[in-house]
This record gives sequence, C-alpha cells and structure tokens, in this order.
Amino acid sequence: MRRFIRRYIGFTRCTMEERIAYRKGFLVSAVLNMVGILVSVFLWRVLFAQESVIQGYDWNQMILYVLIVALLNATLGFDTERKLSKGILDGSIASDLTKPIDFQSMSFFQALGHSLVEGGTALILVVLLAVTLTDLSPYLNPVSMALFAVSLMLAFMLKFCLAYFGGLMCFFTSNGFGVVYLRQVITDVFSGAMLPLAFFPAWFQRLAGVLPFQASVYLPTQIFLGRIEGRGAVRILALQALWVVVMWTLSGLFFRFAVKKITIQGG
Amino acid sequence: MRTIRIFFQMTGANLRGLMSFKTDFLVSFFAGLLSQTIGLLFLSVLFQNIPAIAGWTVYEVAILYGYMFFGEGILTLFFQGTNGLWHQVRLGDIDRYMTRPISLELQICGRQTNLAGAGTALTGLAVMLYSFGKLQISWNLWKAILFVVSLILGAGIRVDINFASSALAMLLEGAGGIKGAIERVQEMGKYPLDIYPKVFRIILLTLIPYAAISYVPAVVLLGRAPYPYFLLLPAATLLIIGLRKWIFAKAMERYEGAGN
Amino acid sequence: MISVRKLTKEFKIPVKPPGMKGAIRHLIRGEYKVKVAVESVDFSIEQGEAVAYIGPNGAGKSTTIKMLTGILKPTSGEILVNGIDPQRHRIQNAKNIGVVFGQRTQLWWDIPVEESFALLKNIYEVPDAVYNENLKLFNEIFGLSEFIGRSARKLSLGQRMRADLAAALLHNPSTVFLDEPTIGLDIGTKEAMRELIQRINREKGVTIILTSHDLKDVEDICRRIIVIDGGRIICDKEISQLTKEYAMDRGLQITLLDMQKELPARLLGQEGISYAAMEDAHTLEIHFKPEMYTAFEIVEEVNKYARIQDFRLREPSIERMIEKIYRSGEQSA
Repeated sequence: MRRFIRRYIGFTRCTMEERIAYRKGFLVSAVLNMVGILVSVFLWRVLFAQESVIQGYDWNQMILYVLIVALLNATLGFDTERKLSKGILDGSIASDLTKPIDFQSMSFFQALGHSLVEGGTALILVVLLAVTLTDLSPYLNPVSMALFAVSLMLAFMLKFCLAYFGGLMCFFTSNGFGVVYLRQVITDVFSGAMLPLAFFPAWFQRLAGVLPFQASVYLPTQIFLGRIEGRGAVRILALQALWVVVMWTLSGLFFRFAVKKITIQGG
Repeated sequence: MRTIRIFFQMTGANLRGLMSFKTDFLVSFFAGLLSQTIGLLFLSVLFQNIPAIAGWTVYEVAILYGYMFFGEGILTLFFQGTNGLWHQVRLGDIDRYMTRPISLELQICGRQTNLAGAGTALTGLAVMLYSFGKLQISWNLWKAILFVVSLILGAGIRVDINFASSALAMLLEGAGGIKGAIERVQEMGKYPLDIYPKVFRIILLTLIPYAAISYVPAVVLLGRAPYPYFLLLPAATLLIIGLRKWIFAKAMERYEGAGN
Repeated sequence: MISVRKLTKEFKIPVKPPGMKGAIRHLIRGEYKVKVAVESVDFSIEQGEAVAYIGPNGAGKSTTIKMLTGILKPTSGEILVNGIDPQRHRIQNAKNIGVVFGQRTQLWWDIPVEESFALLKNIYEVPDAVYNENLKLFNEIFGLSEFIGRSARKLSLGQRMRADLAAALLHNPSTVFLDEPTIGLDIGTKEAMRELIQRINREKGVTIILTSHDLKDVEDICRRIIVIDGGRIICDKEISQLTKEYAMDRGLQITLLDMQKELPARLLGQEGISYAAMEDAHTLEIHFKPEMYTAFEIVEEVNKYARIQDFRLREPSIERMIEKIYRSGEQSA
C-alpha cells in the first residue's frame, strides 16, 4: 500500500503545482465559487423572510446545506470529468495508456491534487461565509464533526468514481459534451446538489435513495446538520463506502471493456 | 454594411462546415434545446415548495429565465468566437487576424458558430412566450416593439459582457477564472433585482449589466414599472459597449504575440 | 519599400522558480525580467527586392516579422512599410501585404479551401478579374484544383501550404512576408513554392521577405541576405557580394582514418586557413586562401597529423558563408 501511494502521489504533487502556477486563474476561481454561493444566499434570504421553515429547513440549515454543496462541488466539480472526457475524445489518453501504471489510479491521484488546491481555497471561503451568515454553534460537536469528515472523504471518492465513470462513456459516443451534460443534470438533481431531496416529490426521493448520487452530496450534509445521528450516521458511512467500492470496481471493468472495444475497432 | 456581410459569410461558412458532421449537427442542436433543463427543473421544484420570490410568481421569474436563455443562445450560436481570447492568443490566431484588413473584433466574433445556441435561444423564446400566455399579459404595439428591441439589445449586452470578460482574462494573461466568474454572475439575472443588496443592483445594471438583459424589460412588460424604466436597457448597452472597447484596446496594447 | 530605423522590441518574461515553493512564491509576487528580442535594428528594402532574413532560433527573426506586419508594437524605433506605420495603421498596411506563417495555417480549418478563398476575396475586396487570373496562375503551378474542394483539415501538409501561399497572394500584395514557408515540406512542394515565389517576385515586382532554415530557399529566391543574431543585425549584403568575399577561399573535405579532435584547432592557428572543423568523427572541412596554399600543400599539411583516406574539393556554399558570419559575429560581440 505504501509503495502504491508513493508511486502515484507524484501525480498529485504535479497537479497541485500546476494549479498553483496559474496564479491569477487560481485566485480568481475562489471568487468564482463565491458568486454561485451568493446567488443562493440572496435567494434564500428573501424566501426565509416570508417563512421561517421550508420543508423542514430553517435559514441556518439551508445556508449550511448550500455551503457544503458548494464545498463539495468546488472540490470535485465537473472540470475533472470534462478533462477526462477531453483526453478520451482527442486521443491524448493514448499516451497515458502506454505508461506502466493503472490509469484509474493515476486519474484519481491527479484529481486529488486538483481537489486539494481547489477544496482548500473553497474551505476557507465556506468557513468564512458560514461564520458570518449562520449560527454554527449547534453543529460543532466533535463526534458529528469526525463523522462528517469521514463522510466528506468518502463523498469525494464517490464523486470521483461517478465522474470517471461518466467520462468513460465518451468512449462510446462522438458527442462528449452531451454525455457530460447529461450526467451533470442527473448528478445535480439526484445528488441533492440542486435542492435538498426533501423538496422533491416522494416517488422521486425513493428513486434517489437507491441511486449512488445522493451518497456523494446529500448524505454528508445530513450528518453535518445532525438530521441523521448515531447509528444512522454510521450506516450512512457504510453505504457511502459500499458505493465507492461498487463504482470503483464497475469503472475498472468498464474501462477494460471500453479499451478492448477501441483496440478492436482500431480507434 | 460590408462588415455585416463578411460576418454572415463567415458564419455561413462555419455552419456549412458544421453540417459536414451531420449527426453532431443535430445532436448539438438538441443539446442546446435541453441545455437549460437544470435551471428549469430548479425553478419548478422550488416553486412547488414556495409561493413566490419577493412577490414574483413562477411565470414571472420564468420570463427572466427566458431572457437569459435567449441571450446565452445567441451568444453561443453566432458569437462563440468571443470565448477564450487568451487561447486564441496562444494559438496564434490573433496574429493571423492582425494581418488581414478588417476589424479584429469582427474576425474574433465570426470565428466560431455553434448550433447548440439555436436550441438554447429557442428554449428561451418558448419559455417566455409560454409564460406571457400564462400570465395573460395585455399586449399592445408598444409592448411588442419593446419586446423585440429588448431581445436584440439583451443579446448584444450578453455578447459584449462575454467579449469584455474574455478580453479582461487576456489582459490578465490567462486568468481564465475571471471570465468564468463574470459568466456565473448571469445567474443573478434570473431573479428579480429586488432580492439583491444595493451594491449588487447597481453593478447588475451598469458594469456587469445582466439585469438589463432580463429584469429591466420584464418589469416594463409585466406592468411592474412605467415605460421610461425601459431606457435603462439602451443606457446599459452603450455603457457595456464602451467598456468592452476600452478593455479590449488595453488587452491589445499589452499583446505580445504568440510563442513568446 | 520598407524602412526600419533603430527598431527595438523588449518582452517581459515571468520568472517562475521550479517546485512547489517556487510556484507559491510566484503566486505571491510575480517576478519578471526584461528580454531584448530585437535591438536597434536598421535596414531598408526597395520595392521588388527579395531578401532573406535569417538567423539561429531565437535570434529575433519572427519578432521582426511580426513588427513589420503590424502584429507587434515596437518598444522603440520606426517602421515604414510602403510609407505606412504597420502597427498604427494596421488595416491599411494589411491591404498591401501577404503573410505566410509556415507553422500555422491562414485557412479556415473546417471549410473547403474554395470557400476560404471566397471569404478572403471579400475581406481583401479583390476584383473578380484579378481573383480569376490569380487562381489560374496558382492552378498552373500548384495544381490547386485537385484539392480546392476539401477543407483544410483534410489536406496533407504539402497541399495545405500550397493553399496557404495561394491564400496570401490572392489580393496581389506588393510585399510578401514568408516565415519558414517550406518547413517540413517534401522536395516537390518546396520546388513548387519556390517557383511561385520567384515568379511573383520577378514578373510582378513583389517584394519578398523570407525567413527560412532551408538555405536552398534562400539561394533560389533571394538576392540579398540580412543576418540577425542575438537581436542585432550582423550582416546585410547582396548574395553575389558575399560569394565574392567568401568564395576567395577554397574548400577541401578530407576523410581521415583516425579520430582527430584537436586537429582543427591546430590548423586554424596557421595563417591563410580561414576555417577548419570536424564535420563528423572522421571528416575534416578546411578552407584556405588560394594565394597562400595550393590544395596539395593543405593535404600534405594534414597528412602530417593524420592518415588520409580520401579528399575532395568543396564549392563554397551559402551554408558555409553563413556559418562564418555567425562565427565572426560572435567574435566581434
């Protein structure tokens, strides 16, 4: 395991340096996240001026929900997937395939480097906003914080798997944009990134419950907001881990299948 | 006149080029039609849980959405070349444009055409017309003229904001993020201006006038404000054109050519 | 007619130290240093001249061309192309010039070459008669009609460059800038390109400014050479003049049986030997003044140090001359 990490951690370092090297772009991306959050904040501010609780969320909870979603999206957004699908579409993936490394692991560690930088800046921003906009005190108990931290990590891994899986779809179509976009819609809606799942009709909530997407965004927020506690929270972590294993394995199999198909078709 | 003719000749040639990939051509059109699904889904799910946003009902807000979609669509369809100026610098495209005896802006605008924009623009129109129908707006000749004018000027503002922010990224030597950030601000154009603090309202009507695209014509057409309020739209248009010209001139001044 | 006076161009280059620490340091305070790409360059070119503008990579060739074509703004100095400041009056200047950048196409990538031409016809406002006449000429030399219906994306490099050169000449420019026009091309295409360039130069009196690493291009097309190195002009002469100066020397190429690394240095020390270098491990190239030595004496001299397998007389080539110019430029600098 240590040897494995040592081999791949270089990709993480390189991506991090690359991200930081684009100095202005990097600083500005922090502002960019801010804009998206601000629109939501203004919108909810008006809505909570009319009512104090909407679908079981009060102002505090809703803003924290928005901030956690923003953090997760900034950490591993659709950029990763777009980059991956671009590599597949323009054929630059070929040079990576000739290296004696596991492509999936390499992609993961690259995404990790990207995410550490982006997530790091986003975290500062999100914490600042959380402190100024909400009353954090009810949520700051060590147990739920620890559970939340684990949940976040699992959510990151799952998000990677989902993005990677979506990117691989590009092997089978000439229209990468369409695939990426379709997955973006599905992910946004079913993960709870668009709105908390409680806002949706009951049938939709049941459907979302059996899909992997909610484990990448919705479930971690529920742990942080203390809406699910104790054994329920542990069960969530187990479910997330399960989805990570399932999606990682599926992606591996799918990748092998896709590459074989391409070799047979000759590109 | 000659400029416009050459622009349409370029766009026509681009479209014919796109048509040589037949399936992609259709797929991108439909992708454009569906591209605003997330936004519309958000709107409809949200309004199942709340009655109004600052007194605006779902169809009133949908009109703001429609205006933003339409501008976005026209930008994508005809003026996609205004994206990624910094990238064009690095590819040496700007070098090439500069050796030709027509305006640089024209060549940049006409560089790329994307049919997805047609789908997006149509979605925007459809959303607006449907919502106007639902709201039973009383139309008169004046309102019809204002509607058409607002679509044209709004699309123009959208293009100019895009061009200006792209030039700003070029001026800052590839700070692509800044363009993304300004582009994200368009989300603010999708809601009534009343929900934002004063500073934001002013910015949205002047420096980054997304509200002039949607909110300004909408309040007039919906009868929420008197007709003279509409003048904010042409005023914002003039301002953003000036701003775009100024930033682009600055960027070109700093331009050091590709490969250096 | 081009005149360039005290032309200087400086670039600001970001300094990015390597590694994570360096990246962060650059993030906090970007550091820049100034690089002088072109330094106080003077020359003038008459209408109808064909001039080679040559120098090693990074010497300032492309930067000069970009300033002459109005792409870059000079840091200081003055340029007049046909009486026009190309940067200040870009559009007016662009009407009179044609530009080919060998590494990038001027054509629209996804549309047929024919349509690219039609677009350019409108952009440059080329009259129908001129347009048709030119197409005919290009067809004759280039066989354009074979591929004019295809998009640039689908052309071979040779076809694309032919189309590119034709595109740059459609509007009968009075001055043509060619930046590495034959790079990477096969011999047939190179010949065709040279032929067309020669013809427009000789028949239409078009001014040609050419940069190329292929000195065959220079020999065939140009009558004058300007050599730039380190941003400064180190030589500006008619090719015939150059040949006279340097052809005074005779050249020998001697194949040795033994490896002799120190040999050139030893020979160069002697008066009357203007050039000596090992071409490869066994081949010595040596130039000498005929009034001081006979060829036989040189062979004898070399034979003192090494066994000779073979030798032959070398014609003075442009390549050698330019090499000598670079060398003397280094010495004087």
